[in-house]
Amino acid sequence: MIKTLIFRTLRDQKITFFYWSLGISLISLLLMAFWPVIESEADLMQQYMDALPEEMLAIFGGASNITTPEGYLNIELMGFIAPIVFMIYSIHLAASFIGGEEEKGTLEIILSLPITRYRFIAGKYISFVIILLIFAIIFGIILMIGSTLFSMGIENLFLFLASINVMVNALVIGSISFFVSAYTGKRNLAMAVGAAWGIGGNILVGLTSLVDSIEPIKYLIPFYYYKGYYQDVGEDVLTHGLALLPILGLIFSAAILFLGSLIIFSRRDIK
Amino acid sequence: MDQIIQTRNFSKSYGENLAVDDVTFDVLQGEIFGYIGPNGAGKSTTIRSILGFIRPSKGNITVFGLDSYKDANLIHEKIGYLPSDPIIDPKYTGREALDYFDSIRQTKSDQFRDYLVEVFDCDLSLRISTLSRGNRQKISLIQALMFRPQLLVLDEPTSGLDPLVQLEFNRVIKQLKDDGITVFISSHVLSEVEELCDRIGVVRDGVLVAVETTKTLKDQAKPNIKIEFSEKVPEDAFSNLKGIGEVIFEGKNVVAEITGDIDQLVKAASAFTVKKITSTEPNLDEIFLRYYES
Repeated sequence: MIKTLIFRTLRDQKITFFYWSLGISLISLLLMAFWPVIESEADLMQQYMDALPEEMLAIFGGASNITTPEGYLNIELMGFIAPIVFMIYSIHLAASFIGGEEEKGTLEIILSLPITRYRFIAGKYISFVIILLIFAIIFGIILMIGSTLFSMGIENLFLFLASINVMVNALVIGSISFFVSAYTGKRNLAMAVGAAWGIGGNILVGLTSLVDSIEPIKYLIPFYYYKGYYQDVGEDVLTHGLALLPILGLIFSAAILFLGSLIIFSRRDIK
Repeated sequence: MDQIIQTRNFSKSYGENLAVDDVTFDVLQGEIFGYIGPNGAGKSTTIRSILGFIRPSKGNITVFGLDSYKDANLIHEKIGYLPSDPIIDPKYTGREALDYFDSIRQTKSDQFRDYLVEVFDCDLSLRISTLSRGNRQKISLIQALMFRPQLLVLDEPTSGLDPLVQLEFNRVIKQLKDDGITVFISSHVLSEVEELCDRIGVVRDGVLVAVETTKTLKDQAKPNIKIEFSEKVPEDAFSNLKGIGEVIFEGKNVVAEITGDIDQLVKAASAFTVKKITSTEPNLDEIFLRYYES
């Protein structure tokens, strides 16, 4: 029963998924295609980066050495564009799975069938995770292809782990939308809260590195565990791989939001 | 006879708005129960509570002896449901949609589904998005009926159906009743469902104002006789006639409610020049209007 729901949900998403995958692949390959140019003008680019205000760098993922392939990819793709694309797709999916169906009215017949609300929510959430995971795998494969094509020489394992990191970060933000969608049944509200949390979290983590008095707040923001943590310990995923603590922290946040969605949806009136 | 649905002092409020107020009724096994009221009377709220979509603010509802909210999943195994505004994902074809509902139910609809498709003249190969309102309604009806549920809950089932399909719908519902299926059916137009219903509950402003057998209601409805005269007639000539209830004077016409023999009415009319006499059958909608207005 839950398998049927998952297969059908995945099937319903296949066209949208194709376009999103195409989009992230093209963006990634395009940015990576610039690497040979950047490499040949490394000194000039680093001077340019050094001239940027610290505040701007903080918001766009922090300072990195743009003259290395890892640093270039961190600045151009993994620091801002990839998390934003993953975040928007994740929010879009999560908000439409419950709120979208409830607003359209398609939820009513489904819930009149002998499927518990727990199973319904679990089926939708599992579908959401599977879609994001496949999206991340495609992204990881594209990163590996780009790295080889444009002679970046980054380890395939680290590229794959970086795509998993960006996916787990999007999973948490999407889970916030999923929770709001399960709680209110309102798609647009769920999207707005997820987007505000995702973008706000990104900016706030950047600001905490500049303003000492608000620095402890960063530990409460899931986005910190995507990138800020690695900067604090002087590492990055493309060079050192994933650290256990932040990735578990993100997965734990997503799990809590999923459990919250499960409980709240099973106890509220369906509109 | 077993009670399939029992509502006891059921109330539902949204903030300060009381949608349903202290409703108590039973639906018995094998009967067709009509739940009739104007738009916004609380019919859909009651139905959605029976389905367990919403939790009663007060009182309780049991279906097959189970709590409609807590045991919704068990109840749904036996219920076929048609919402008032049924929406199926427009991406699907009719067949894909019905197969999907079948697989969630873990059932495989037998020839009965094919029979319904034929009776309602549906083309299951078309996408839902390309279908008219009436044809979408037919697909939704089939999903509710196809697995031969023990209880059918139909919210405004005939809206959007053309008269021929309505006749077929009535025939199928009677056939299911003969098979022992219980039917709870709501409508805001009594005449659309009166032929089907054994008993009728009348709901107004969230309050159940009457539960009667259809026969009792029909007995309350009196036929009228309308007499057209060549000129206006004096009102006192038609007062206090035996067998005649209320008399209404409309210009040169007299409309008399018949409560017994019409002998005195005919004799009173014969004193004037009569152009035409017509008799009007009892109209249940008028009875309902009285309930609504009382």
